[in-house]
Amino acid sequence: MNVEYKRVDLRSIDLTDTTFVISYGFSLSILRESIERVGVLNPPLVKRSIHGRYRVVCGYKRLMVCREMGTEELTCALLDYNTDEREAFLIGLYDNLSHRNLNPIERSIAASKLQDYYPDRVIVEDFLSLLGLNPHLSVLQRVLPLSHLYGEMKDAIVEGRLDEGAALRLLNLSERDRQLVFRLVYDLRLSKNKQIEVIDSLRDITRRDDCSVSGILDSTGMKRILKDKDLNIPQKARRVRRFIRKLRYPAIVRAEEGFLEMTRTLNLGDGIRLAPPPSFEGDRYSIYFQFVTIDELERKLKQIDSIKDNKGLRKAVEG
Amino acid sequence: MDQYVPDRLIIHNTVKGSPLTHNVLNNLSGIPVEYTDDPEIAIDPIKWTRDPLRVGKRVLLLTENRGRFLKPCPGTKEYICCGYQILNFATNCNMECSYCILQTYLNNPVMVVYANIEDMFSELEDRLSKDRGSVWRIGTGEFTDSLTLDHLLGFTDLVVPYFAKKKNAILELKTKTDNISNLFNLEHNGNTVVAWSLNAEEIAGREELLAPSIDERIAAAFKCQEMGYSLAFHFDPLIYYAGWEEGYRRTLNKLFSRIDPSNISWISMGCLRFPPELKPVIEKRFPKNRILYEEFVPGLDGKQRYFQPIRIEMYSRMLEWMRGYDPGLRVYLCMESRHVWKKVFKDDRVGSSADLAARLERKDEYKGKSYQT
Repeated sequence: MNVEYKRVDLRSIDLTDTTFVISYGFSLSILRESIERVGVLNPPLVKRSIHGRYRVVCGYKRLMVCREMGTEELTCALLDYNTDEREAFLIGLYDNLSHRNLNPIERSIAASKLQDYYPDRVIVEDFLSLLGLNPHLSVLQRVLPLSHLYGEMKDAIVEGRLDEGAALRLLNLSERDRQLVFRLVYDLRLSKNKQIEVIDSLRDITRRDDCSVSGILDSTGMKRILKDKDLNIPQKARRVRRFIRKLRYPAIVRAEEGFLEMTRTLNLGDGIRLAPPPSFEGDRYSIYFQFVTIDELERKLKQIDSIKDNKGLRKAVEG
Repeated sequence: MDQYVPDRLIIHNTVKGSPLTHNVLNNLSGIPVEYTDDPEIAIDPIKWTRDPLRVGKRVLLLTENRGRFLKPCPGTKEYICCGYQILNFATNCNMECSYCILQTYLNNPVMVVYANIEDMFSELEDRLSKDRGSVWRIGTGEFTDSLTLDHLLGFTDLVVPYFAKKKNAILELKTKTDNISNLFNLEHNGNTVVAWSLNAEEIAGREELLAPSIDERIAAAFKCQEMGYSLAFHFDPLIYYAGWEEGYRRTLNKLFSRIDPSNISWISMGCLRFPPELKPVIEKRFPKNRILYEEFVPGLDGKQRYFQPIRIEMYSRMLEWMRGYDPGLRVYLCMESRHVWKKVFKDDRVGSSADLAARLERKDEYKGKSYQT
């Protein structure tokens, strides 16, 4: 790599040209503190473009801080003008990979830009592992669309408030529905699995019933939950999930409710719980209870014994 | 139905002398043929295309099976399995059924034929001679369609007469095609059952792309009936949709208007089920499908299945309708629980996989040709 060190007027560096830049979702505060205290220790690497201005190869954040600080001139390493674009991009990529882990959006940006220079096979075989990803085509295909999300969604991924898998599912929705569902799972602070559950369910309902997410979210029942000021966020989240589940799986929810209703008639008392087979698949019912004394054990066993002739239970178990 | 013609033929050098290779070369002309020592290298570029499954179907690879040809059907112990044996002579299928499990099951997107059939026959001979006591039910239609390549391979010319001589084995050729011309004039001795996968016409038209219509399948079955073959039918997957009752009844009407129930060896039913990883594949490859959004639950085998009451309802109605044509029809469920069996058949005679296998192997229950031991 041929470089020449030179004082460069910062106005001649085009920070809007991000051809070689993969950084996303960063904070400049610590870097700014460092530069204010000890200056720029490693000169940024730039390359002159055909328009005469410089493009950033390495040191994008350093240059942003310097611009914020009003620095007018800075020593930069100038990459040989004849270095081709692919080589310049790789220099920037390897520089980043050498000292930090990329976040999911940066990995997506890197993979997208690698597509400008390499076929998928080379990206999978030579680069995905470097990016911290499994070297499979399916992984590349999964990671690529993330960089095309809206800024707010990308930020939520970087912050860890929107799961990558959930974000990819959002991409299967129309733009309007995507925004609405993102806002819902974000505001309800759902965990990863619950984000996926809600997004999948909403999408399935829209496909099954040929309706829109906005139609579901604007329904009276949903609005009532979302506008209920007496509910805190976890309570709202539980009710919203239940509401959506009931729409997605009406027969299953009816069966669950019916079973619950039947168990109430058993008068099992506190500390004894009867559970149906998971999803009512299979034929194994379970009873859970705890005891402290032998007396309590005897009492609970007697209570359990008393339910075997209950008509509701027999109907549920034997059909 | 248009017969399958690949765009490209790849021949593994190890099977250059196989009779199947010879047949394919005789039956195909004007398509590029490549010989290779390493099929993996030859087909690798397909894996990097945008839709490898679609592109792969256009390539026919003749190679060797280095493992066993005969394997038990990969049923799971959590559900009752019929104990079928699969004769794995080929993998993949040129048709495009949206629900097809092969989309995620196979690790190779091309149409593969294991052409070292001398090894296949030698293995069959070995296995069948060691266990003469039971009836082997052997099928070729699990990882491929049994007949879709037959006009190229002439596989049935070899395998049907072979089974005709076997006293303890039944061959089932399972298909959606009407590619039956090779079956004419073959000596089958009642030991080959030709089976069709059937569905409601709406489902066949919408979800079984490139497959012959239900009418065409039944017409082919009728011709096989005339040739003295025993028949079987598989309503698998049964798909729940608005109007399913009418749709499936119509297919049954069509079936029994042309097929004599006494020629039917068995009919199976299985509701749609799929591993979770298949759902995104179906959504991507068949965005207009509407089969994934009913009420599914995780089954005991990890596959998504309709909520049990839906399955019981579908099986029960189907059974009732079929028994209306002939109460003696031998109907079984593919991969269902004892509970579902009991609810559908209103008895507890099939409580395990062994019960089902024994029932399917009982010769006195066969309505058509008896299988002499």
